[in-house]
Amino acid sequence: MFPYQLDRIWHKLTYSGLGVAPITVNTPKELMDAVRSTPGSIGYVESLKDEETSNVVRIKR
Amino acid sequence: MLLELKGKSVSMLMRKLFFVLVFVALSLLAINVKAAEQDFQFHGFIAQGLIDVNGSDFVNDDGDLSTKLTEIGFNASYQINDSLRLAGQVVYLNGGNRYEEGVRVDYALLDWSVYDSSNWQTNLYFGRFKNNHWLYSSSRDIPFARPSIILPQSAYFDGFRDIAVGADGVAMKISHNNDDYGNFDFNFSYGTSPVSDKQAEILLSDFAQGKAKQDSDIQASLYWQPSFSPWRFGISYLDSDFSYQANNKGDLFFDADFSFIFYTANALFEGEMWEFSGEVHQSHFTTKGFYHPQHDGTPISQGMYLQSRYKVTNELTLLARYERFYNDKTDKTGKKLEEQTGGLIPARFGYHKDLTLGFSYDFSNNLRLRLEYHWLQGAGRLTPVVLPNSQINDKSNWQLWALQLMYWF
Repeated sequence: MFPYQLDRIWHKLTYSGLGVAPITVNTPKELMDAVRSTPGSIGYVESLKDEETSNVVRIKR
Repeated sequence: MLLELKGKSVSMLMRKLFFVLVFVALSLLAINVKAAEQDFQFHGFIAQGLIDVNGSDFVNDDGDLSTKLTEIGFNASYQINDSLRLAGQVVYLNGGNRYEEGVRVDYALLDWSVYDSSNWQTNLYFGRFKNNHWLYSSSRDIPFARPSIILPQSAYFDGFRDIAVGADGVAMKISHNNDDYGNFDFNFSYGTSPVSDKQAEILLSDFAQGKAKQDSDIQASLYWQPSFSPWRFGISYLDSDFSYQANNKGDLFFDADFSFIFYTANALFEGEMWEFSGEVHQSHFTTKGFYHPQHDGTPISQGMYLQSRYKVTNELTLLARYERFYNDKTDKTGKKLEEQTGGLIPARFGYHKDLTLGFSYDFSNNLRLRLEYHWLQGAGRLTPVVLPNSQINDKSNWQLWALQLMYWF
């Protein structure tokens, strides 16, 4: 899936009442902090230094 | 809950060979202030444009350059608990003659997540919901979420907008993800739409003095995306009944029952640079009464469009589209229409063709400029529909260009 497709899906959900778009953060660190402090959340990051407080799944392509 | 990195950093990240997926267990019970804030979300958009139509009353009667291309929306969503959510959106629209100008409650609904597993999701929506059955029906008023400023009028006729955009009632969405066969989405909706006096005038002409109302609207659609495929296919069905009660004090028309059956098939290809989409549709429009008490007719109309978009860069996207529509598939030139009405409705009102070229440019991830040019033939998708204005719409060939700047948050 390409980034523009994700944007389209979120736009459609957010502005037609069908669902809720993800929370947007500005840096990978903010993303990690948000994932740690939000129950049930998931997020994608490029690399990771501290894996202790989250469950991590590595994806290879 | 999914957290997304803002802007281009996402596209950069998405292309990396290695991803790391991070998640915390669903069983975490800690009450979190941040999470509570996230239960409440506000979003909105504002778009203003210029539109110039030569040779028809599509936007205005005098044919001058118009600023009647305004779309403003504001929405809120509140997650009550794990399975219930409230959502609503108010929009202000001004499209000149295309539809009624003013503020509308676009949707106002209770979303109940009935069942949610890794492969199945079922949601029920109660209240005023948007039509989610056609390729662009739920995003037709969202300037940045539709492919062009003016959508293909054969399927997304602005004259029908207020009736087709959604309904008051109940809707259902079932999604299924299957590793072998791909993703399936089934949508069903039942409800009615209020028909305003202005909407009746747009459809029927201001000679109609009576009251029109929608009695029922049933719609269903099915979408299928094969596993890991850039293609998505869909079909939809609509069955709607209307009635018209003539005004006893000198109405030009008679009591009537209308039935509108509309079915579509669509395909969408989304590649990295290229995108292709198309919809074909047919409708059976039965009118009993109206013109005279014994009138009973069911013309079958047909339409289609093919569209392509090409992403030149992350900012610049080009658009090309071709569209055809016939009010009566047995009368594609409209000659029969002209003969049957004794010349009152000229042949050009029997069809509509549109060739569109355009582009959009993204200044940032929430500010876009769009420009497009339409070469049109025929007056079959101009308002009013039933008693067309053949004095203003006196040309078979007409053109329009439009420019729109849009911002969203």
